Amino acid sequence: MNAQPLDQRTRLSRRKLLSGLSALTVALTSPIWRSATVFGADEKTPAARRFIGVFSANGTIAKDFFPAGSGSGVPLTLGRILAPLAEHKAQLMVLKGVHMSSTVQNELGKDAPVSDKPGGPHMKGPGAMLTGGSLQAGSFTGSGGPAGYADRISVDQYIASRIGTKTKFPSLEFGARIEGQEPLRVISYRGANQPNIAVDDPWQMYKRIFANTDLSSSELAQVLAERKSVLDFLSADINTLKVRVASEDKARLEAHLASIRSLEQELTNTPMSCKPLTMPAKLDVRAMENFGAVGKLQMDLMLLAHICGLTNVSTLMFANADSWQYYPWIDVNEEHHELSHAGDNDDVANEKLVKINRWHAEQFAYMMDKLRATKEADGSSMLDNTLMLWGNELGAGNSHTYKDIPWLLAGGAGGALKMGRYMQYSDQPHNNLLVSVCNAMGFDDVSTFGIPGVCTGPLPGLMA
Amino acid sequence: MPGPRGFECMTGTVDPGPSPMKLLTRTQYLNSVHDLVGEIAGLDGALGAGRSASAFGLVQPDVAQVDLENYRNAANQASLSVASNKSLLKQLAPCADGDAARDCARTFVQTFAARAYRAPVTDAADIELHLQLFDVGAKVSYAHGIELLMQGILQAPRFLYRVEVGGKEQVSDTAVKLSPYELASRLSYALWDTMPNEELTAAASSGGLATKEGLLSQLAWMLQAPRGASVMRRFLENFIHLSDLDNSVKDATLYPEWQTSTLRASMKTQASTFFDDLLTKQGGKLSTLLTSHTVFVNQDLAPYYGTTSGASFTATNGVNGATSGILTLPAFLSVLAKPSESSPIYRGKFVREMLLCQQLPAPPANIPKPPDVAPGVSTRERLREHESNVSCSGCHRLMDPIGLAFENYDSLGRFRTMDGQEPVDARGELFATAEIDGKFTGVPELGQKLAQSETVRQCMARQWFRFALQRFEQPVDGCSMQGLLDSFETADADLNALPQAIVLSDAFQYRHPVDSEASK
Repeated sequence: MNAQPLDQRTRLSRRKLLSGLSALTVALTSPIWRSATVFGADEKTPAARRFIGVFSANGTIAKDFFPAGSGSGVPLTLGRILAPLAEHKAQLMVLKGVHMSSTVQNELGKDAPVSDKPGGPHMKGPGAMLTGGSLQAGSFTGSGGPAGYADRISVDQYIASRIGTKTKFPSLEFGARIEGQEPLRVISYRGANQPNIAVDDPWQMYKRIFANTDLSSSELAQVLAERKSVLDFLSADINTLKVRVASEDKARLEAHLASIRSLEQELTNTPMSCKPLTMPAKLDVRAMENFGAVGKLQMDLMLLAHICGLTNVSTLMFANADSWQYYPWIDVNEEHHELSHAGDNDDVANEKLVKINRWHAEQFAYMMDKLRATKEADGSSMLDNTLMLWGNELGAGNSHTYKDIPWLLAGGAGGALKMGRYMQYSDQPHNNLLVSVCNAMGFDDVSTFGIPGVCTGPLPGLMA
Repeated sequence: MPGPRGFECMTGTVDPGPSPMKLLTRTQYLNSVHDLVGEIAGLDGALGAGRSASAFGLVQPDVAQVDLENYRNAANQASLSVASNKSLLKQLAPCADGDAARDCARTFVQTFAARAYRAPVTDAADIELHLQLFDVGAKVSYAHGIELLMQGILQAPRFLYRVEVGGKEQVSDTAVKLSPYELASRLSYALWDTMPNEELTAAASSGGLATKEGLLSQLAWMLQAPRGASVMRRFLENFIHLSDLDNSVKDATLYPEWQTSTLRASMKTQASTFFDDLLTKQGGKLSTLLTSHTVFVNQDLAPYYGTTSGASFTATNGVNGATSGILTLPAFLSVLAKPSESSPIYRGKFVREMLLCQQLPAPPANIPKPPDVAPGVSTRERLREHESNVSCSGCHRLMDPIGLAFENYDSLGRFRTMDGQEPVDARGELFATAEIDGKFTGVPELGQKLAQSETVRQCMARQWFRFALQRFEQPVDGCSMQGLLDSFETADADLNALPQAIVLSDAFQYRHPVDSEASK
């Protein structure tokens, strides 16, 4: 095992940790302790207890992603791309006609489309996908920019603000090979200009999640007490400083303080009741060929974090928007973005794009498999109580369209959503989907999300 | 009345523009910790993975939990290195036998924290707050108390951010002088990319920065010092996003030589060596930057120029008609290229945005489906769609006709005369410029046009403003920009004139009074 302990002084008792290690599979099959968090005021209201957002890039091939036929609310059939998810069909919902309208509309909604929102077509999507907002102006120039970060909170962070206070981490943001200018690499935002940039190195994530698990309880108590003292010092220092500075700087210090509170939460919700997984020898996480291996490790760590009750909210980005990833292990030796610009009649390129998207569906199926294999204390599976949302920055790569994003809702969602169906809408803004996600998490008080003028309420017909 | 260059400077008003608090960049953080405690093994790794910065780091997000974890890990690493190294501890936090530990810690706060915060620490309550943190660790040992205190200091916002509140001396309704320590910090981070050293701090505390003459004399030696002497090189490296080379992906089948880091390292050194040579030996003129025939060649890059070379870099003349300063640097051309081909769009866009300072509109959200393309067709042929389709042509005519003149350079910036099966057609055209519209062929002719352009000179001055002050210029900066542009023109666009010109600007020397900002 290569992962170094976070705290250099904790080396003394590492053997204890090593002897206690078990693989993820062991953790997955053992019943887990039920988090004490109360989800929603009324326990009887069906609601998901966990949220997982997943991103993959460059749009899809519509005819192979969306089921054939024009019916809506009909039993789901799976096209070639989603075929790997066949076993989970009863806990899937495919949505068509749900557009990322907030990338091109302002407060006045569709009555006043605007064409000059900051950011290129690939850049706008990740900033909007979970926020229902758009990018601020800025100087990131990649991919059609320039732009800054998104202008408001994302749905995962909204959920974390409601159900994330009792876990060690309010949320965790994972990535695999996310490269390039920052707005392409971020889907999770705590607020305007407050990106949660995903950690795309599983070994770094491992250190974050399982820091100090090798300490005895008295050693851990000392480390935690000292860390608390440092955080107290920093809080006091910031509180003194912020009254002296300009208002703009004060806001920045307040944001800093908010993140310090998250660190305090890490301390108070330690220790945890779970065993870390064994990390393999370190790989080059930047290397194209390690994309699959890094993605797999990130999925394992993410699922374990959920299983161990370290967090209830997470996101995973498979590559950045505008991804230039190659997929040689499925015989795709061209970069994804370039392929995605092929014309509709370019069968060779489109076949490769189907392969890429199908591979991503296989990864999604892996997560669903593992969640289903994990039993909660009441005998239900973790998947039954989880809501997963898979999205993309574009509908199709060759037209850069923000329309018909390949949305997939998955998991039992605690019974809140009527899964196993195919929903076709005519021109719904994805803000409405984000409202429905909040409702499915048990937040019945949420009736709008993202840019208010774009949002018109929850997506009709989703709830059970 | 608006000035000739679009900036309005009304005499009699002094407005320094906004000066938001800035988080240290990753490089500034690492340099500053190095200056404080010396080399710390593993510090870079403890800080987590690097982020891609926006142009000149102009966009700074608020810090996230993971950022604070990274700062904590780095601070803990540095503090442990000091506390566990007896001689280093003795040097930074001496405490003789018989001395009261808390008194030693107090001295440490007044020296070490003052250096870290780039300002004297004199407030009794402030010192006491620090000492309380020392007390927690001192229960274990003096060294551990210092360790904990250092952890706190290195995570404190006064270290992580460049905090300014200004001094008491009012310059105008909208401007106060910076405190001497704040001014010293601005100088050192702008010119050195690190914290003030002892000499600069001494000058600040003795009033050495209080007058223009004093400022100029400090500036003189600061620019002589090694880090100051390389400031314009760092600016140019940032200007072409040189560090992005590390993350540039190239097709492994087409470009096996790219997959080892030596070619990329050579390209970087080549660019940096060219910039140094330009600034110190070739006169530093902007026109030379755009047109110079001098190239630096080692064994990795010799094939680019049809020559041979050893391991070290030597200056030579580039291939006739193929070399034009910064515009034909392989590093520059490789960053602005696709994994398997050139990119007229990226290259044209760079000229538009970075050399002409023109803002391109974003592409439409729904573009028409592209036509199917037969393999082996030239890049120029494929981009023809942009001309014929009205929804593309609006923006692309601003980029493609410039970028297509770069078609003599492939994805790795190598000169070529064939693209696929067809001979390269490097004809280009400039539209919508103030004074250099017209047709041309190839990059050297483009370089000549740009070198004559007043717009390009103004643009470079703007870019320097952004780099030195880490913010965009704004209408309120009219006087500062006018002064900067005048100095640059007077120096016949010598890049070496820019540091002094910015330091003497209102935007650099002053800030808004805190009250006026708070009341907004």
